[in-house]
Amino acid sequence: MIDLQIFLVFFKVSLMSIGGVFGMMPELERQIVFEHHWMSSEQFLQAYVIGQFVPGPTMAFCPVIGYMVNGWTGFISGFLGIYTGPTILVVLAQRGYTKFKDIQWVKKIELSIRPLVIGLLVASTIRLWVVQTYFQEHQLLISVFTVGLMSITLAVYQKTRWDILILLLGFGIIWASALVLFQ
Amino acid sequence: MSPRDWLKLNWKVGALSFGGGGRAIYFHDALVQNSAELSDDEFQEGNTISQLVPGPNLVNLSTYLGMQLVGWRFMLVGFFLLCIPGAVIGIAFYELIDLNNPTMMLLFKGFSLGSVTFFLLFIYRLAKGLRSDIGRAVTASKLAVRILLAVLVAAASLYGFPLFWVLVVGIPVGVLVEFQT
Repeated sequence: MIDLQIFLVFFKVSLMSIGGVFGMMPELERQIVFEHHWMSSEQFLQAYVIGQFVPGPTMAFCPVIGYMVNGWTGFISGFLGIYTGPTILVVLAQRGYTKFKDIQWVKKIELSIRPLVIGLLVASTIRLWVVQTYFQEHQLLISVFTVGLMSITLAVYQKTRWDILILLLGFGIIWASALVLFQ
Repeated sequence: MSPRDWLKLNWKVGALSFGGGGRAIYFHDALVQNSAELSDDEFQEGNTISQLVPGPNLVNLSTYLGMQLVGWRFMLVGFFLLCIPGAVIGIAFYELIDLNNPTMMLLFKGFSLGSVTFFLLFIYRLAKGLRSDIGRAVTASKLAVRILLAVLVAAASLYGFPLFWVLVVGIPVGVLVEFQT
């Protein structure tokens, strides 16, 4: 029974989550922490933090919440709940758009939405930046160092075309090592 | 793109791309920058629709592109390769790693900021697409209006306006701009 509830909570929230993970967080927390009392706010936040760091979609924290609530069956319920609805919708949208995209006004509407999408991505990036560069001490110095390392990373990428994954791992290790030494 | 390459790409993003956010650039790199599987315009079509449909944007994008490139069967296998590793690794983190360990948290933050770096590059690539219209270059005034719209949407989102209302207002404005100019 609880697995069905987990599935339904994630399924409903997944259909409300336009714009990615930030859009659905308040509602998900309300349902899981305050309505069903499946976990504390701290545990919820811990699951969210895990989702921020694991590979793949950031919503990987939803199956993790399912696991925290009811073990592996909760994991499966959370997984199916969060991904099933949107996947079906995208398949339908892809079919519909592919069929009609040669009509000029359909293409124009798609073009008209692109600036909005870019705006939303910019907002997501700024939020991510603010969350990850918040420190109680030496905020300015850390920010300047981070911007410098980001610039060098991008320059290396443009020059060498190395795999992004390698550069990402290198960035993480160098950044964390520098902060450990600094502290 | 061969189904095998598609599955490898999804596995790579799903199992190895630590750090959070901005992972769509892996798809852009593999399909547009480093090969000619898709034009930039085709990729942006998929990205736009993926953002508008509810749900995880990265999974939506993979689903859309998978349907277009390799059909539903391989799209579905790619979906599992993209989504399962991160969820399983998340459980391993939960069970095995002390998330209060400051050094570990710094490493994770480092990966996240690395992601921000490539998120910015991805946005830059998308923004370059604002310069083009159907079959021709866009006029300077129209480009300015498009950029202004993007900035306003970003500001509204950051200010905390509900996304639903940002889109309810933003989409008609964007459509009006597109059809009037």
